[in-house]
Amino acid sequence: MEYLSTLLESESMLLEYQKGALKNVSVKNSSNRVLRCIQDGKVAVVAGEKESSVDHLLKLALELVPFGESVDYQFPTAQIYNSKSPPPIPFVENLKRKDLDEIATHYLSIAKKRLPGLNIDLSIEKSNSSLDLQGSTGLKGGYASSTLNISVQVMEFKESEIFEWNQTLPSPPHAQRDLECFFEDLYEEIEAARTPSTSLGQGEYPFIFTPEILQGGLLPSFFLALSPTLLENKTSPLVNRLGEKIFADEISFEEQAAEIPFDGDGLPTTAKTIINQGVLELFPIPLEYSKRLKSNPTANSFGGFPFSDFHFKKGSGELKKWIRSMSEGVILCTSYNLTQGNIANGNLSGIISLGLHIKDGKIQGRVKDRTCTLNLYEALGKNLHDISKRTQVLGHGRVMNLPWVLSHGIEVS
Amino acid sequence: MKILQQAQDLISSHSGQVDYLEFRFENRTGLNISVYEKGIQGISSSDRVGGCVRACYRGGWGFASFSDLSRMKDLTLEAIEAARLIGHDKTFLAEVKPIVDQVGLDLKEDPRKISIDHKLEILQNYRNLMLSRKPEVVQAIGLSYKEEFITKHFLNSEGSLISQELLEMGLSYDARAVVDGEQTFMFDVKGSTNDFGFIRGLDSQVQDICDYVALYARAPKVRGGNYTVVLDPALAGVFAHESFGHTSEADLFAEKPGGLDTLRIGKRFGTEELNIYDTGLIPGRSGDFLYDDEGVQASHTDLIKDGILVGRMHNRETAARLGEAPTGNARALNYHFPPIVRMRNTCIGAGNHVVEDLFEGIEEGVYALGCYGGSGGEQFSFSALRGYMIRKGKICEPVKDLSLMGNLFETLEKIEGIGPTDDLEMLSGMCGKHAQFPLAVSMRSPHIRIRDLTIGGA
Repeated sequence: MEYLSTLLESESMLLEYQKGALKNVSVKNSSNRVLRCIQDGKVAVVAGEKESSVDHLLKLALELVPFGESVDYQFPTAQIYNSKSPPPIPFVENLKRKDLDEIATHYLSIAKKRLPGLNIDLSIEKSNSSLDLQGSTGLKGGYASSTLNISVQVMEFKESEIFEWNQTLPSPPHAQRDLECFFEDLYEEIEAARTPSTSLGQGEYPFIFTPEILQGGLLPSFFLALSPTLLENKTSPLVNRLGEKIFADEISFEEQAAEIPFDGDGLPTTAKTIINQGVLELFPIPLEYSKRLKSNPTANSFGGFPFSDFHFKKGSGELKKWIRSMSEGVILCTSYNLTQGNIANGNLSGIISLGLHIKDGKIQGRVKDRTCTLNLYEALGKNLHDISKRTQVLGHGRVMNLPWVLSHGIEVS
Repeated sequence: MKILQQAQDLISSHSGQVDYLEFRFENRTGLNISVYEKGIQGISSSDRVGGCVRACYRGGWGFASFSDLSRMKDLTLEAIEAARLIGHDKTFLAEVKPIVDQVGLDLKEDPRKISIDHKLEILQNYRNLMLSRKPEVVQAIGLSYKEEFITKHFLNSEGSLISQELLEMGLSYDARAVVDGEQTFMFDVKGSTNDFGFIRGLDSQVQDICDYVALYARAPKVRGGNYTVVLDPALAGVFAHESFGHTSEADLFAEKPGGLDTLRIGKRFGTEELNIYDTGLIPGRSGDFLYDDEGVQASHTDLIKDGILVGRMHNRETAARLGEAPTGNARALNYHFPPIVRMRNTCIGAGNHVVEDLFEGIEEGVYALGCYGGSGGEQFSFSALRGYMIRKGKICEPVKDLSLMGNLFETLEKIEGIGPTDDLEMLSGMCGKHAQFPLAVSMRSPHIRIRDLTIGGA
């Protein structure tokens, strides 16, 4: 019998503001221990809180494991990871409730002046978390992180019309300047979006995809196609396409493995290229799939988003120049629905939830009651026009570093 | 329980410092089993315990949750301190009579009495049935069973002390097919909160999934455009939930500028045939519970009656702010979250059209069935699992990749017909709001017909 146990613990504080005033303060103390046990070639998984000791969970797992899935792998043998934590962010690490309140109050007061008459709800959350790994094979390691998250929601009703705008701080700030940039962009976007909805006709248009929409709308279908389950049952559109060009020459993706020292199987993460000049160079293979897929494990067992970090190579384009030179098009910030269908093939369709209409080189206002339809492999393939020089880091811990992307021929209906 | 006594002691000693104080404790034990075409895919269990405290002082709320129960006292003091620090207004909490009650499970067939071996045998039998029916293009199949027993304890400074046992069970089954390198995915979900027997008798349904996925793998994509659309009960139920349901959650609009004007009681939102309600009173379905997470008794809440807005869903605070009765819609995903206004079982009431009539007179339209998922608000969107073109009132060839989109207020006006009572069907689902996902809910509806609905497609 052998086992692998991970314990994720976190302490967080959330302050929520409504109508400009602090309304709720929430404190969360949470722990989640997951233990995977292999015995006689079968595996079972049990979960509980920190109070559920390894011994207790092991007892439960041993009751379950005779019914478990047959496996053909073993956990990695003894390795002690030095605590290679994500680099500490002093600006975040030492924030107390009073500091969080000062940050929120400061930017809400500016918003009140810049966006008079608009009701802005804001939440700010600081959390510290740590992950510890312990294995019967001698594995031992851990890492910790501190994050700060800010979400802003604007919502107002007019007769039979709802104006809603949501924005989240993309990644923990390293300095006051990062917060100022975030709020400055936010005020500008809301100002632009508040103007009366403009009429965008049906047809094909150039689209500027923001880093947020790449993260939450476009790239999930690529990550799904990389899923080892879909590769194993040969329903991924990328099956047998290793070494083939699937995107335009300008597209390169890599994992730098800069912050997370090991994956969920306890294997050390390593830097690797996923897409090189449009060519698919790597499938992320978790340990449990390696023999079945006849491939070495790549330390990418994280569940869902398969990488410890993800970097989309920047280009040379400039967002402002794209806008100035565009006769008509859209900046797509959010579409709640792009990922809701059968997206593994890259076919995406959804409402333009937050989008700005560009006409004659200027932002005209918020796009309303329009949907967009695209194929990921075309948008980042034959329809790719440019990639921005500027990139944005998104996420906390397992980050994505993404640019803005300009693609042509996106269908609007 | 010792922990309840400790919480009671904290209420006795500290409730004088705030306007309101409550504790919730949970114990959740779960089991998940998955099989796929090659055999068992995974088995896992969970056993979680934790609690939370919420304090309100002059309208300000302090909340703390703890996996480590030994932190209860210090985090209670922190929640009280936070509430006192931020409260400067007035506490709004609709009056609720204190309730002392213990609610046990009333199960037709108890899954705890069914061995893991037998549960596996049921899944393996379905797997074999799917494999025996698997057409050539079907590459993969899967079945997944889950059960979770939840024991909740609630006590507050008003004298309520409620213990409630709940159960959620679900079975999902799916199939994937590939034709010309393009993948098609089809699934269905069944669920119950009181009868393990829900899992039996599904032989034809699990096999149908294989047939459907093979059929739709070869089907053309729908041509995008505006159509008269007939929604099957599953998709119509999701429409009710995503579009009107979320918009009727009082915490979303009550405090927002213009919210009460847009959602004014007495305003017409559709034809006289349209009735939408939310209820916690349909036994056996997700969202069926006697008390919500504020200790308010569940109820039937009419939202639209005969086309007129007549109500909304509340927690105690929004009900008091609007001077309306609480509806028992305060739900928390688990003890790590405070309760917010959530749906339970959201339904479109039966209309007066027979189903066949809903197709009549449609020159070219779409019949949309089942749901991949959706999201809503003023602008909503759902993806249908399956579709057929309607030509001259007849159901014709299958079409796939249907995304249905529209504006809520305009679309409610475009509902042209609603199916009868014997057409009503239930659907289980998962709902997300803010960070609280997935919360088990259900929906019920008959077929409905909507004119001029946008369908995104090829």
